[in-house]
Amino acid sequence: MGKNQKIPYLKDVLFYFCKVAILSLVLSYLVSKTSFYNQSLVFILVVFSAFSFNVFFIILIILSYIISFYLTTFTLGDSSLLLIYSFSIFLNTIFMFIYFKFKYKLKEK
Amino acid sequence: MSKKVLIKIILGLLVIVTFIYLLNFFKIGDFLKNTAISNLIIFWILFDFSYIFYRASLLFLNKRRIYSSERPLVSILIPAYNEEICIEKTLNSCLFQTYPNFEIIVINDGSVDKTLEVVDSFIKKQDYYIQNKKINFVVIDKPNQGKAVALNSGKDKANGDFLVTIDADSHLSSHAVEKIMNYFTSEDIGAVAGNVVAIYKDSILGYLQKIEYEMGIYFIRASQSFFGNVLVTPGALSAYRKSAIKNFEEGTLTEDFDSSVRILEKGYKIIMAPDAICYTQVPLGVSDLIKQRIRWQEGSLEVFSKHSFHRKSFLVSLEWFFLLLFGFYPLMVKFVSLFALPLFLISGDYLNLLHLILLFLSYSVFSYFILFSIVAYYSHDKKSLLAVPLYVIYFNTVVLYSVLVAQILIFKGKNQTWGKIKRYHI
Repeated sequence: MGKNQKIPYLKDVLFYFCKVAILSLVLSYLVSKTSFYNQSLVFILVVFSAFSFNVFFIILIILSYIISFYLTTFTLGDSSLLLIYSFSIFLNTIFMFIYFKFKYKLKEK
Repeated sequence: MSKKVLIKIILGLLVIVTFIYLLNFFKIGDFLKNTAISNLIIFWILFDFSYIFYRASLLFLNKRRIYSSERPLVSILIPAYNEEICIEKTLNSCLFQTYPNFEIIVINDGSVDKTLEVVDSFIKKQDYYIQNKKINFVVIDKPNQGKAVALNSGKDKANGDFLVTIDADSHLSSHAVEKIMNYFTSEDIGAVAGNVVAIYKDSILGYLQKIEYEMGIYFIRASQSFFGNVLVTPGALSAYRKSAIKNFEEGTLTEDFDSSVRILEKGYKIIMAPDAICYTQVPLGVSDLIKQRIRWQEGSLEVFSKHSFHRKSFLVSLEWFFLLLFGFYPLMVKFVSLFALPLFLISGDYLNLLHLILLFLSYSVFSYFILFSIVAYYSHDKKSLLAVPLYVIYFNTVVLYSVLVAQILIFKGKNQTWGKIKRYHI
């Protein structure tokens, strides 16, 4: 990297990492108190929810957690669990775009 | 499908099968055979390679040989913002085109450098040629309002039924306009995307971008072109039927993507002209590159969110689905996986961590090697295969970082503006 080459938006990214770290501690503790606890799914929930605390978005992300959690109860082994985690990320990605779509629609109005 | 093509497809499949066999043969410990990660890796291989196979098949089938012989008036639009360093070369390449019937419209978008003076002096210098060839050369000087507004101002002044847009930091090959116009063979073709070649000036970062451009053009766009569903017409060189494009979309970061999607929504086809070549400058510094990628990523997320989930033709919907499934989703998987790495460290599970990293790297290198081989066949640049390991590093650092930033910015509602990338003499 050259002398004047700074990494853009580094502060924003570091702030996001901090949010992920804090949220993973808090949420792991809170969810472990319930019967819905799955460490990997909590981790996926944290990575996505750290992007925004918007109520609508959080509802979508929690919905994705619940769907994925129920799917884990039908698993046959570790490999299908990993596929469910992949599916959970896919569901979160779709929900993220649904949230963006509403956001842009509101902006246009 | 010719025999040659069939043999290549069979060879490709053989390589995949051999790879899976070798994974088991060397038993990358019994670890691979017995753990869930191995199953997941095989799942990803099947998932990715079926997609590569689909694209490669369309690519081999896409042999468009009918060309239009009509030569209608074409308006070349060149929006420019602070392009004093490279605009002369751009204008020069536009003026000396082999296409017989065109006009040039330069839109100075409130440049604060000497762009306007350079354009004026170029017109004076080439006055004899311009008068002799009866080329209508228009210069519009307007306050800075962004590229899309500049293109719309140019479109309003354009007399031609076809618009060719080029970036002021790019220059055309002498046949580019002629070649791109050859592809307007029927009324339902709304736009044609050109072939953008990156000028890399012996920089490794530039070279990796050149390969990335080639992958986008020869692998994605050329295969989308088979059904006329090219999703992005590049800003650096594209041609539009004026009646197909109402306006260039203002207020977005990727006006080219937004505009082409609107053309597809109207029911027009968009195809690609691989022989219409335009050379463009790419950022050679990491900082500039990240800024550019953040803008692209933010723009793509914006266009995807705005236009997807609409009712369109089945094939256009399929392209949207592929964009979600193979464009955005794997990046999210990589994020989560990368964030999970520290957990392995904390838990002291170093062996699994090492295996995971090795598997991830070998899988990435292997899949890119297949992709690069297909691209090298078309671009005739076989040495690009040597750059595969570097490309894996580039993609998983620069590109992934830009995607993360773009997402953070979109959630914040803090749009990145059109930054200025450092230009150089070519």
